[in-house]
Amino acid sequence: MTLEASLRQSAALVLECAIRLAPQDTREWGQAMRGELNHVESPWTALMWALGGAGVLMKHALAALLMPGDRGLPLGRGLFARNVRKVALVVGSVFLLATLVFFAAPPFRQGLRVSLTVWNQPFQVTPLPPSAWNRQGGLRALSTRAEAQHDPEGLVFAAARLVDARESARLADEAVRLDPRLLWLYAIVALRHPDLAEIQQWIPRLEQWDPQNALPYLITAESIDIDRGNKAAGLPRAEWRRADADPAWQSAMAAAFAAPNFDDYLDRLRALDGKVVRRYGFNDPYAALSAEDADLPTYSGSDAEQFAASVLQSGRKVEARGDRKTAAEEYWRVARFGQVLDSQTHTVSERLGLHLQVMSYRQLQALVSKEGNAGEAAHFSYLAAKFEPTGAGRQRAYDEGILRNRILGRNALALEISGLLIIIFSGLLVIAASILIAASRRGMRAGARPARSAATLVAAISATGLFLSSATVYLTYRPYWYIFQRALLKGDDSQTSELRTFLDLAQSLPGARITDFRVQFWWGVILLGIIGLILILLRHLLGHTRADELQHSPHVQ
Amino acid sequence: METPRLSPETRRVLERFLERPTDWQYGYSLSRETGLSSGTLYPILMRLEKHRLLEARWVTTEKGVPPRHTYRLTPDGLEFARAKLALPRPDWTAQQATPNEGKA
Repeated sequence: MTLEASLRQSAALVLECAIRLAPQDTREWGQAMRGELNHVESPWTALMWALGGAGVLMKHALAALLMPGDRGLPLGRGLFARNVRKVALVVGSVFLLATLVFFAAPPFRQGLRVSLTVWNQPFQVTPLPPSAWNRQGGLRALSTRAEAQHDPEGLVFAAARLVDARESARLADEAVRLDPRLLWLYAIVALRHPDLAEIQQWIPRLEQWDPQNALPYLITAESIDIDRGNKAAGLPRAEWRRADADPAWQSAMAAAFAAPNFDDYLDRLRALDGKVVRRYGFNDPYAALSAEDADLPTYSGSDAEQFAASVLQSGRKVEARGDRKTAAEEYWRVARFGQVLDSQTHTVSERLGLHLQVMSYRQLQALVSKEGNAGEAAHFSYLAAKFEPTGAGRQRAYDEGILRNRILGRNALALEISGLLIIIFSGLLVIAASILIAASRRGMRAGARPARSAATLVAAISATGLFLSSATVYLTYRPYWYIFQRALLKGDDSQTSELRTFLDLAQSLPGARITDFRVQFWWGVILLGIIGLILILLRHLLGHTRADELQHSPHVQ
Repeated sequence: METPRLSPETRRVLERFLERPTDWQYGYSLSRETGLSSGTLYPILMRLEKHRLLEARWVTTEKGVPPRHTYRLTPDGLEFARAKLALPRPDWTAQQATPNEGKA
């Protein structure tokens, strides 16, 4: 199809769509414009003819929408008749009041805050990293109030989340001073800020307070690792990370592997979260969920894996010498520690626990096979296979993850755009209201009347847009607000990872997530089309407003 | 009878009709002769027709092509146009026609 034919076809399509939307009594005029289209010589002129005609029909469609019962609307007055202006103001006020009702709903307030996060970042001037997870303002205010009220639980909430390691340690000390039963907070803060000097004093207290727990030993091992890393600055990581070179590290890890249980204290923290969130009305999901970072960090995972590998290696050496009993004990050390970690349902520790079990069950399977015990070998093989995700399982999990992220991405995009529209419509509404207030003063010049008419229209459209955008924010964010409530108030973290992913996606600019050039191109075309249509409509409407005012000028009549 | 407003654009349309008062005229021809876009011309035609100053009818020009709407002034319309156009143009239309006037 040639460009000329496409343009003519588009022109006809535009007019035919407008005719369908036009009120019954103006459709004949639409047909009249459509009839002329075949006699317009240039295809571009035909398109402009169609757009102009569609504008006329849309104006009447809008008038019919605002005044559905009044089809005797005088054509000469249209949208700018006094009674239409009143209706527009009433409709605008109703939508504005309906929007204010949304502000009473907590899911909307939180959703609006999240929706605006992405637009804060390009204008971020503070030296903090530009991530909403590190948003500290609300936490600092909460810790100040908690300190003033000598509330140890409030201090725990802030200490577990603050980015500032020194302040976090100070609040932890203060919380434990006020209530020594909160000693476990040291472990949470130590996991979040592993290079704190205070950890050396905290660890013995933690070991004494909860001697069965593997966690303090893992923290000790990590401190040794960090210390070694600091001293070996500039050396290749693989060189200074040779674990067997450091007896202190070996001893800490051996103690961790021998510990009968593992508790990362996150359940205790979550039990307090609900109370603190209610007490302080804290509703920043980014800051509130940032404590999830206190889950066993991946470096502890690599420490444990490294030590497990060395234990299994030692078992294989013993096995090679013929001491199968000692070898089995070594393999079981790793399996038991895996089971202990697995008892925690928190993501990292659970995954690590399963991984360690698979490593040891494989060794045990090989060992009993050599002993000719086929039944036990089959049992260990079954256990290893059970905990090790298969290729198909991995692929399914990957596909599900992609699909989930796509849905979350769409929701996050809807939220971001709605938040932006709320800002734009609010701005337009304020400007329109200012013009209307200025125009209502006595002694207004005749020339200001068109501005008043346009301002009325803009105010009505903005209030409608504000209502629709607010409704979108509310409806889009509501499910995530419930996840947040369940996580913080009831400790149900079954969907917290979904919420965290959603909050992560809501932090990035919409365009940054669209990598397909074709999608970007068509979005651009649609956007330009909308801007063009708005400009044509405004020009058309304002042109008539001006003519209407000239009509009332004493010079004309 | 309430009469439509007489904007400069409406004057231009009425002038065209008065040049050939008995002829039926097409919308696109009027648009070209007055220099008005469809978005400006049709509201004027609709207004004139609403006040019974303009009559319209459909004509079929050739087979397979949609019929065309044609227009001419009614007797009332002719009287209205002649009465209104006999009045001198208001000052602001003259200013509009020569925007640089008086700036020297």
